[in-house]
Formats: sequence, structure tokens, C-alpha cells
Amino acid sequence: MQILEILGKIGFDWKLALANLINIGIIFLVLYKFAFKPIKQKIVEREAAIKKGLNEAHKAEIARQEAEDEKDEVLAQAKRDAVLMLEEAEKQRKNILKDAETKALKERENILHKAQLEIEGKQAEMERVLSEKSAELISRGVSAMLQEEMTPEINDRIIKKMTSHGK
Amino acid sequence: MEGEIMNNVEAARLIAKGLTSLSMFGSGIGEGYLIGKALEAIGRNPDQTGSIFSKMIIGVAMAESTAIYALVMFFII
Amino acid sequence: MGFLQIGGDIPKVEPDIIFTVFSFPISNTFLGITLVLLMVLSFSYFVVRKFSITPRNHTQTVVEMVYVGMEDLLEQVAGRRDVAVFLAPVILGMFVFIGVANLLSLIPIFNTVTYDGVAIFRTPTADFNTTFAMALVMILFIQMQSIVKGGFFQYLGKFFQFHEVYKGFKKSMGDGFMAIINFLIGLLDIISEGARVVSLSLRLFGNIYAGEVLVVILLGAFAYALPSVWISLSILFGVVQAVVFGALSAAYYSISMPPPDGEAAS
Repeated sequence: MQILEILGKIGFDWKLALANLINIGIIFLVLYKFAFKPIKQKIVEREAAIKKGLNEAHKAEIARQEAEDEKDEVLAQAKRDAVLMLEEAEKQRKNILKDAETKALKERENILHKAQLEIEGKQAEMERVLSEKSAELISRGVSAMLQEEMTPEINDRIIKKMTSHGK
Repeated sequence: MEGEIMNNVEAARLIAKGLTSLSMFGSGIGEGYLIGKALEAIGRNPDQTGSIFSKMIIGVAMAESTAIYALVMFFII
Repeated sequence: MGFLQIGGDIPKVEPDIIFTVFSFPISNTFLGITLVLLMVLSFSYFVVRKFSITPRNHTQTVVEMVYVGMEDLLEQVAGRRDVAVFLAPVILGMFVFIGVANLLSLIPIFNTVTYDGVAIFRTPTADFNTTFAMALVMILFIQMQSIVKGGFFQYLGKFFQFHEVYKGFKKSMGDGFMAIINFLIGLLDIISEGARVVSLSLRLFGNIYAGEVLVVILLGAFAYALPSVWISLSILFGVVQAVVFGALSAAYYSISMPPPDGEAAS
């Protein structure tokens, strides 16, 4: 074999090659079984753990998001309720105010009316008293002028005439 | 006469050994060209430095293998 | 020899045989590999066993960085994540063995411990037997995977493209002749598979062996500053050659795999 001869010049010998091969094979087995397998296993395990942790973090994030959403919703509901209540209160206030106003107006009117009536009554009374007094005065003056004793009948007649005339 | 022939053969061997080492010219030119091109590529595209560099190293080793074959020839002759 | 030169023998190409067991020679390379094996075993026993999911030391971080980095590199080369994850232990085994062996050769006393005038240890990768065996096994592994994944007939059909020639002639004359050229190229692929073994193994062997020879030559030329430059470069080359061996194996693997189902259907 020419090839073996040429290779032999750079030190090739199949027995030595076989021996080296077996030894290298053992090295491979050892490396694979005791080094690469555990290393790879550790890497894979760690990756799984990291992935699990990330998943859990993701889940927690989702839960937090949900809780936040819920909180927001409750807050919004409360806000809406508050607005409603405020509106209601405003309405009630307005109603009360209106009622009070109308009541006050009515009262005022009543009072005014009563006062008017009273005033009118008083006026009439006063007018009556005044006319009576003035008629008496006038009749006294007239009787004085006429120098004649006034009888109650004449006086009454004159007063009546005067008041009816004065009216 | 016999010794003269042996001398001639020895001389031819040495000349052949010298000739094999000439292959290093080509290897050197090839490697220089390869590295120059790779550096150009890195300069144009610095993000890919790692990828280009590892491929360059492999390419350089392959180009170098020509010189290595010549070296082995050098020992065989 | 002047004061500034340290003479030394250029290391021999072939390994020295120290003793034989049942007519099987045990070379100093074998002992070197055994040393690596012991290192790997003790690493597994003392370091890897203590690894946990929550790393407490930097060693685990570095080791896992290497592992994941190799997976990423393989993904770049092979183009698919599942292939990278599948290949990672194989390629990483190559990488660790070659890297450790290459760096062992840089330890000054490693190659100079002698017994009976013969060096006990030899850098495993500076021996052609080791690299050839590794490359051969790697290519055989790739061929086996190709057969397992694609079936035996598809594997054969890659080299003997009778079917393509038949289809090409059925289509047109020009396509038929193109198919014949492809047929010849397919036959050449058989040779190229063998050439891959040689090129993979020679590249590694040549680099490391040349490095050792060059150190001796530099020591003979100027012993006190010059070799340090080359030795520091050798650290880089040792790791780079380990990466290249693995990356090329992965590239050969992804080339010889049958195309994924999506492409085959189209």
C-alpha cells in the first residue's frame, strides 16, 4: 500500500492509531457522561426555572393588572355615585329653596293682605270717626252760628246729611 | 560513482524541499486578502463583528492548511 | 553553540514506543492522552459535580459560557438550532481534547521528562496517528448520521446520481449532459470524503508539529526573547485549531445531511 507508506513517513502506524483512538473514545465517553451531560442538565434546569419564574411574574403581573382594573372600576363607580348624590342634593337644595321661597312669598302676600285689610279697616274707622267728629264740629259751629239750641233730632239729621253729602 | 548518484539524489531532495516551501506565498497572499476583506466587512457592518470574526478565523485556518500540506510534504520528501 | 543559543533535537515525526502490551505498542502519545484523560476525570469529579442551578463560583459560569458559546457557533455554522444542540457534545468533546492537548505542549517540562532516553509524554495532537484517528472517526460518524437520517438509498444516491441523469435526459438533451457532469462530480465526492479525513487530520497535525519544531529552531537561533513571541502565538493557534476542527466537522455534517423536509418537498 503506497498510501500507508507515504503516511508512514509522517509517523503513521495503524496499531498506534487504534490505541490512540480507543483512548480518545474513553475521553469522549467520560466528557459526555460526567461533564457535558450534567452541565447541559444544569443549563436546561436553570432555563426552566427562569422560565417558570418569568411565567409566575407574568401571572402576578396579570393579577395585579386585574386588581388595578377592579380598583379603577370601584373608584369610577364611587365617583359616579358621588356625582349622582351631589346632583340629587343639589336638586333637593333647589327644591327646598323653591319651597321656602314660595312659602315666604305666600306668607308675605298673606301678611300684606292682612295688613292691607287692617289698614283699610282702620282707615274706614278713622274716616267714620273723622266724619262724625267733623260733622259734630260743623253742627256745633252751625248751631253756634245759628244761635239756636240744637235738638238731637236736628243734629242727627244734619250729620246724616253731611256725611252722605261728604261721601 | 555510487556516492555521486546519492549526492545528486540528496541534492534533488533538498531542492524539492525548498520548492515545497514556496507554497507559503499563496497561503500568505490568500490569508492577507481574506483578513482584509473581513476587516472591510466589519468596518461596513460593525454589528456583525462576532459572526464575521469567527468565520474569518475558520477561513484563515482553511487557507493556512495549504501551507500546512506543503509543510507535511516537506517532511515526507 | 554560543551563549545565546540553546541547541535541541528537532522532535521526530513518529512517536516513540515506550513498551508493548500483547504486541500492541504503547507510545508516549498514548501516555499523553492518558494524562488528558486523567485531567478530564478529575475535572468532572472535583468541579462539575459541585455545579448547581444557582452558580456560587466563577468556574461554572466560565464552563457554561464555553458550552453555550459552542452551541451558538455551531448554530451559525450549521444554520439550525436543533442540529447545534445535537452536535454540541460531540464537537465540544473534540474541542476540549484538542485544546487541552495543544495547550499541554506549551508547558515547558511536558516534552522533556525522559525515561531511558525517551520522552514519556508527547503532545497528542503533534502525532499524526491521533489526528488521523480523530478525523476518521468524525467523518465515519457523519456518514453514519447521514445514512440514519436520510436512509441508505438516499445516501448512495448522493454519490451515484443515476436518477438525476435519467430525469435530465427525459427533460432535454442539454440537461442530460449537465446531469452527466453532475454524475461525475458525484463520483468525485467519494474521493473528497477521503480527502476530508486527510485534510482535517493534516491541518491539525501540521500546525502543532510545526509549532514544536519552530520552537526548537528559535531556541537554537536566539534563546532568550524570540521564542516567547512564537509561544504566545501558539496559545492562540492551539485554541483556534481546536475551534476550526470542530467548526469544519460541523460544516461537513450540515453539508452531508439530507435537506430538511420543507426543502425536499419543494
